[in-house]
Amino acid sequence: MTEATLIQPDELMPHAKRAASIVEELDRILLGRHELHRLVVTGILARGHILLEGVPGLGKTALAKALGDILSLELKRVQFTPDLMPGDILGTNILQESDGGGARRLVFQQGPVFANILLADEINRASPKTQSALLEAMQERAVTLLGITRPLPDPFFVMASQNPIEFEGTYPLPEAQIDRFLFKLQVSNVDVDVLDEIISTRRRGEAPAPRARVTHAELQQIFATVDRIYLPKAVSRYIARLVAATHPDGPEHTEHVAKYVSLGASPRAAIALAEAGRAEALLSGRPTVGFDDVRRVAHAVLDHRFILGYRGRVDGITTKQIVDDLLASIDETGVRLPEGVSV
Amino acid sequence: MQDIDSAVRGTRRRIAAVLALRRLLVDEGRWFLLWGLGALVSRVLGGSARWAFLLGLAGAGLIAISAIERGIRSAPPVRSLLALFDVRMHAGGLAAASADVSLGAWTLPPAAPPPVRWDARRPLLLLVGAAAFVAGAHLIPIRSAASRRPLELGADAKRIEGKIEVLEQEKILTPDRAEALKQTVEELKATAEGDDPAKAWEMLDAVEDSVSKSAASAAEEAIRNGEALAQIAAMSSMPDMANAVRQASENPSLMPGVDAKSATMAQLGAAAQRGQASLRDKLAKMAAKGMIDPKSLNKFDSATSQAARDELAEYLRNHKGQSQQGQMARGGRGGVDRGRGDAPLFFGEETKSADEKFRDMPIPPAAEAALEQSDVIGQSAAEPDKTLQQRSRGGALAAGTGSGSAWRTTILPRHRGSVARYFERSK
Repeated sequence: MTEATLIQPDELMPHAKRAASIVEELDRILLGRHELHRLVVTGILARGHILLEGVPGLGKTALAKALGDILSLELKRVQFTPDLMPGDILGTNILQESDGGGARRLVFQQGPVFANILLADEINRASPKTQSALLEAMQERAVTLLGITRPLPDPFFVMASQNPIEFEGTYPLPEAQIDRFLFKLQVSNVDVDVLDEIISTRRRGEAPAPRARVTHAELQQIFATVDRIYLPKAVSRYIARLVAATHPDGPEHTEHVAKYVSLGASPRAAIALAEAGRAEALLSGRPTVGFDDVRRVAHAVLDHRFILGYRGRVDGITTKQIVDDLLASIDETGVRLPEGVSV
Repeated sequence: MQDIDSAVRGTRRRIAAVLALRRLLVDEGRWFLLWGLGALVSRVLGGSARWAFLLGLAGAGLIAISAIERGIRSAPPVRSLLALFDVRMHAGGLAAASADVSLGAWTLPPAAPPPVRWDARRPLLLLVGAAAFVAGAHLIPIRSAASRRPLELGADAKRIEGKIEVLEQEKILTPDRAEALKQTVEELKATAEGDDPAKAWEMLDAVEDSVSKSAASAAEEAIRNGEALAQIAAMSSMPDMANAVRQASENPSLMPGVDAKSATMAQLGAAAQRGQASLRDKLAKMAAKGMIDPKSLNKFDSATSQAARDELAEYLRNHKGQSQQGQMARGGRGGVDRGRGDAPLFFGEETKSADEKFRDMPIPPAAEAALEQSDVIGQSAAEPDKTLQQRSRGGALAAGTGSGSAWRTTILPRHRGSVARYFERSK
């Protein structure tokens, strides 16, 4: 039996540097949000969809555009409104006359979802029917219309944004859809120094063009490298324990979970943690997923996958606090020693 | 610093040693508690303390082997320790992955084995306490529940034996009888059991009762003998002896006889007095031992006292010729509480029945009005005949169904007007 070998440094490092360069380029184009850029790239490398939450004017759309530009990916933007119909996103069949005249046939007209990156601005303004139209696209990366399933371009990502302060005329995303987002990232304000730099270097807020772009082939190679990042059994065990502990009846649940959480994270959350951990390890130039990688993406993956009970809402508890509590209480190694013995 | 494999192995050995030692202390502590308990129970039930000790020792050995084996087995697996090193070294999963895959060109930095800490105070305290318990269970004196529990009769037996000795010394009991009673008491002392104290106490009471009866009988006899001896002593000094002496003094030829008689009587008197003293001494001893009632001693003194006899003689002289019938013939004052049955009866303060008048009692207005509505059916000094009133209970209706005795019919007041008009219509 041949023992498996980790991806070797000479195979890993070029792609790791290329992936890191995407973050660097984003940092150069959009100022002052390194952690956000790193997590966005992590999510993209893990082939996940990303939900950006923040007030208007923070650069969510600019981030998506810059990312599409750097990755040489086709980006289409849809402004979600209450009267937006599924066909407006997915596409529709239209009756078309042939060139010779006389013959008419139904021709499928692709919607904006047929792109590499779909920027769904203010996704929570669309009706649930229209929101649900994205379910298959996000999960299966395909669109089925009139019994015909059409695959979406590879890669395909949804980058959605939602405004957390305007609730009038909005439709909160259903749990099934919000669970399909790999990350939910909070876009916060930047500090004074960054604002000063933006004003000084960005006339009319226009972002500079990227210096280097990642080609489609390079991106596919990076994806392939991410797939070869090894997830050690101890780390996968830690991920499983962490996700199980989010359930009030889980084996290692904390007091906060038992008190405030009504429904914990789904198995999709565990998969997301593993995949995001792989992407994070690649960005760090390592061939294995470490415990720190899991901890680094834990908030982005888990924060939006809890359903808090009424006590949590009454006490003003956030899912971030729950995750912090879990990360602090669960021992990564799983070494169980009797009382009085410690290492 | 050393490579991660040797560091992990060394750490695992140290953890295993600590866990084995901890398990050893805890298990031995628990076993010692059981051992001590078992030893206590065994000793109480009369089992062999030596066997309990040996069995406990053997058990302790087996427990030690088992505890060490379990402790070593409970050491964390290498995979978990690699994960531990991974976290400590911030190895990014490389150390954890080295358990599953070959690292190839990737290298891990030298590892520093973490210290293994153990707070052994509680298990040590448990073990020391349990060991002390085992030692105590084997060493403290204990009375076996299976052995006989003797009944402590020493004080009572000694008291009864003292009584027997007194009775034997005073020759109230024969030596054989006294020896037999002593033997009985000794056997009781040896065989009496705490499980059945009533039996022993009953037998001891029977012996003491026998001794007390002998003593009481001897006391009665001593009183009787004392009384006889007192009489003999009194006779030795009778007046005729004095007369004989006086006659002998007038007639010297009688002197030898008088001397002889006098000497004999003196000897007799002295002997009687010694006998009395001896009897009193005997009674005093028995009273001191509690065998007889102390009043028996007073009774003896009264019976043998010269003063008592003199008092009786004086009384008889004063009441010479007076019989008991004469005393009774004098009569009493009469009445139940004023004399005997033959006392005369006395009658006085008889009830006056003549010239007595009844006092007038006014009738209340309501009762007077009721009388006006009533009929007089007769007068009698005796209680009214209620049967007549009971017959009238049927009222006017009863007249038609009556026995035909019209005079018995009572007309109700509300019908009286109708009846009067009927009889007056001819007018």
